[in-house]
Amino acid sequence: MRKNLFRIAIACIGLLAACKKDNDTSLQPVSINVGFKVAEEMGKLDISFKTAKVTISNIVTGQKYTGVLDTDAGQVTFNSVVPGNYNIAVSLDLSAKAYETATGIKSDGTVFFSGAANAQAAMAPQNNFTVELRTGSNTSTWLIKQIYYAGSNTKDGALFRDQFVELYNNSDQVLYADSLYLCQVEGVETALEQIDFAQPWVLPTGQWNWAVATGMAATNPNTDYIYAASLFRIPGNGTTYPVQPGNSIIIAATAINHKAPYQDASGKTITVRNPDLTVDLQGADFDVYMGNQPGINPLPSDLNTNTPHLTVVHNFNRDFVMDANGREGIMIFRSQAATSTWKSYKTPNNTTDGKLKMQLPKKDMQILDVVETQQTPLNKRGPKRISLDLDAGFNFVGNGAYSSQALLRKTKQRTGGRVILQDTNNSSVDFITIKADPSKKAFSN
Amino acid sequence: MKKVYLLFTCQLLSVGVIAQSDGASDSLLTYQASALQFRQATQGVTMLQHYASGNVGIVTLQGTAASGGYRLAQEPQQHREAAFKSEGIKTVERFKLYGQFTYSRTWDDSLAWMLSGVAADNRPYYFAAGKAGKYDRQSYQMKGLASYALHPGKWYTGAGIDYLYQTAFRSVDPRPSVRQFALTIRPEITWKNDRHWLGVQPMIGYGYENTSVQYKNTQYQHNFDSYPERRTWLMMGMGYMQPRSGQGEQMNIRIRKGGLTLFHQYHQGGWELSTQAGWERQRSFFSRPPESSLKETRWGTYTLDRYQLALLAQQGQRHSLQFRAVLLNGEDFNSYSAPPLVQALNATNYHYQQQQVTVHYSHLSSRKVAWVPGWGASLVWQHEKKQDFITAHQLNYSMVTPSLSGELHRNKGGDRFHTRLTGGVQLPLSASVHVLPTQMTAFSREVVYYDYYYYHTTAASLDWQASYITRKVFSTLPAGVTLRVRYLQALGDISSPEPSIPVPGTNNIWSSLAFHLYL
Repeated sequence: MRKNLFRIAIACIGLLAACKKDNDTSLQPVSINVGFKVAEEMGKLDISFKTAKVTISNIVTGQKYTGVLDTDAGQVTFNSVVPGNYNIAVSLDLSAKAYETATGIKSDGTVFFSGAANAQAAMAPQNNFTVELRTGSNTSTWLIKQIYYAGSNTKDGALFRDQFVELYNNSDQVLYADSLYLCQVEGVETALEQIDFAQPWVLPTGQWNWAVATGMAATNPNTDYIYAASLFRIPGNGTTYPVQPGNSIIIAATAINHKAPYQDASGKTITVRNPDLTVDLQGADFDVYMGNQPGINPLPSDLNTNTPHLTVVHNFNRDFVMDANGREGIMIFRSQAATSTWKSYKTPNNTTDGKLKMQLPKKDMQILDVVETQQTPLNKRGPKRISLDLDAGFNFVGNGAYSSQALLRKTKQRTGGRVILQDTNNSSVDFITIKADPSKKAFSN
Repeated sequence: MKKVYLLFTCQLLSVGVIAQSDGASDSLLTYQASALQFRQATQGVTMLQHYASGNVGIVTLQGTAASGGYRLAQEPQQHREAAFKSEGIKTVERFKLYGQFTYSRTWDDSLAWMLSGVAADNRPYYFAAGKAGKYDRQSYQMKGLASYALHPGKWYTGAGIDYLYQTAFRSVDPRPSVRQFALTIRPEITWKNDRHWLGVQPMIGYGYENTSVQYKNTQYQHNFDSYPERRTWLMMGMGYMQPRSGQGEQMNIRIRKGGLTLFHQYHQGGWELSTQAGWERQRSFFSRPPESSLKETRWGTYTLDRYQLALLAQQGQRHSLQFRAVLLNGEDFNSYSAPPLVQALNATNYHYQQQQVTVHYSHLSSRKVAWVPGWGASLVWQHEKKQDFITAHQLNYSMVTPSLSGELHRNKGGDRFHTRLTGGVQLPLSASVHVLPTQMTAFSREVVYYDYYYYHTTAASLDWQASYITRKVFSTLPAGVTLRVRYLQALGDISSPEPSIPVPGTNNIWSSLAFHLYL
């Protein structure tokens, strides 16, 4: 009997061992299908999407997949990817002949189309997205060539006082920098994963819902306007500052040689432990001086240099300071409107110490170029602040804040000694990371 | 200071248990049959009570070194260990006691994709980084078994307790700091009738582990694209992984265990037959450290079932036949989320299965000669399958490892010498790996494919051991030294058609030198 009990017990354990677990999970990778269409504002363009290059990147892991459409129409399919949220970027090079056939417009070279769809949730087994394509702007105007927002090492460098922006004449004509506006576009800076989407001042995209801003009277405040954290204008009478084709101007926070010791506004001598980490901005064409702005206590590093100063239209900061982490949108535009008529509002979350942001009507602006930058660490990136039609993507320096690195626009081609920079209206593909170089001679190739 | 007191107390406890010997201690490490019997006796009350010797004891100081590229991806290239171990059995009236204390200090080098405490335990949730680095580990392990004869010759009872405390640190960014604690209690009731011993041993256990990650270099801690190998990943399976912020990252693991083991011992005609059958379930809960007593963010749960059957038939030292079968079944439930970008899967993503069967036979000659020969043969069959559904990763292999050994024993004037040489070959029967091109990551290449090439390779092994025991050092106690060297050599080239996929090295050598005192 006792032997039998033991045998029964062994048999039970054996049965348990024989039990095979079924692979009954329903989890599986998902598929993403990306289709294309030309944006409505482009009109009815019958173009071939063959050779369109699609890149999807997982927002959290950074994993990228690239596919190319090998037919005239249809979609690019990415089978078996990890479920998650993806940024989708599309670029298409259309030959001048194909563009002329489709539009009747002659082009002097390849025409870039690009589009993007950001933070697309791909959780279902099949996920279909359509991306609107638009042409990039072009070879006939000003472009933002270099953005040095990161600054240099906080201990051995110049922190953020050596920041600058380089603007480039991408055309084959002399252009005048007079009255160009330089804007730092306002946006939510909180990381996406930390945003409380339940709050009324947050749109589903994570950006500000300006409709609930205190005192908002404008209609379509979220779509018809861009909001400026700061706004500057290059002075001049219209022909004061000519810039030759293929040349640049540098706008610095403070136009001094940051590599060498200097006396700050309080008389203190400031030195840099490692001059190689920072830049010499003595040759900058313009800088920003806040010392004569009412109600502003400028930074000690904000010196009244001999360099022409930008006109300050709107700035509550103590100098021209870009976010060293990269939470920025830099825009250049022209406008004939009187900026004094443009209103200002606190950010919609209406914090007590909130600064006013200037409301810029799109209808009054001829936007020349916009570039969005984001934080380098994946998990710290915030919601997209620039609309897709202005900048389909964003970029960031590889080594993050205080790394002495800058973003440089890629070279598209060289013509008769003049460099034409690439502009697909998608900063994800238009920029590379370099060590900041204010020499005006920095080009990607 | 508390650790010193604990260390001292444990040493005293184990030494106290082993105060007086029957003289069998020095045979424990020289004869395979004796070693198997002793090891079995430490499993529970039934086996301990049945064990012939009432008093044995061994104190060991051991140094180990291993090096070589022929290894799994998540094992170190170099491994060194220093360990102190004391164990023994003591009989006091109706009590029969077993105690063991082990302290070890480990130094590992070039270990990548593993930022947890215990390496290679097939747990699906752990922090990992591609950067290889050095590890320091310390381990305190104690085991106690107390049995009491309720009705001598009929009923026995008792309980065993296992305690483990481990710490691990790394000196390369990212730097994990791991603290692990585990406690297991095994009460048992045994019934004896004539030639049969029957024992029932339920088990309950609890464990806790905390891993925290720090960076010394601020450049590495921000998940920059420039330093992808320094990025801290939360691994959840074999392929599914999500990046973590790095600096200050923490993971808590709570482990609950339960199980049942049955023992049967029978002797007939000079043969001892032992059977042990057991089941154990371990559930691990992985989470971020709780923000409050009410709120815990759980990342996942892993359930591992282990079934084991062990049979041992021995005729003294002459014949020993051992059969052992182990089945492991594991699966997780993934509930990790990082809203709004990462939605919880709330489903099983990882499956793990391992089957292993071992058959071992050893024979020792009964001839009265100066050098007593012996030989042995063993066959190990192992099959393992790992599957990660969401990333469509699958690794599957089976292999068989036959080996033959020959040994010589010599006893002269109270001194013993023993040497054994074992040759074996690791033969892959099948090995397959599936990773979709869209799911290929650095982990896929450097771990999944790397392990595939390891399991896909035929390797030969040579294991030589020699031990010498003498009374010439201490007149009242035998003292001994054991040297062991094991060499593993892959046969043929190991190459990958894809240059970006690394492959294992071709050899691995493991050596150990130990000093013993037999009490």
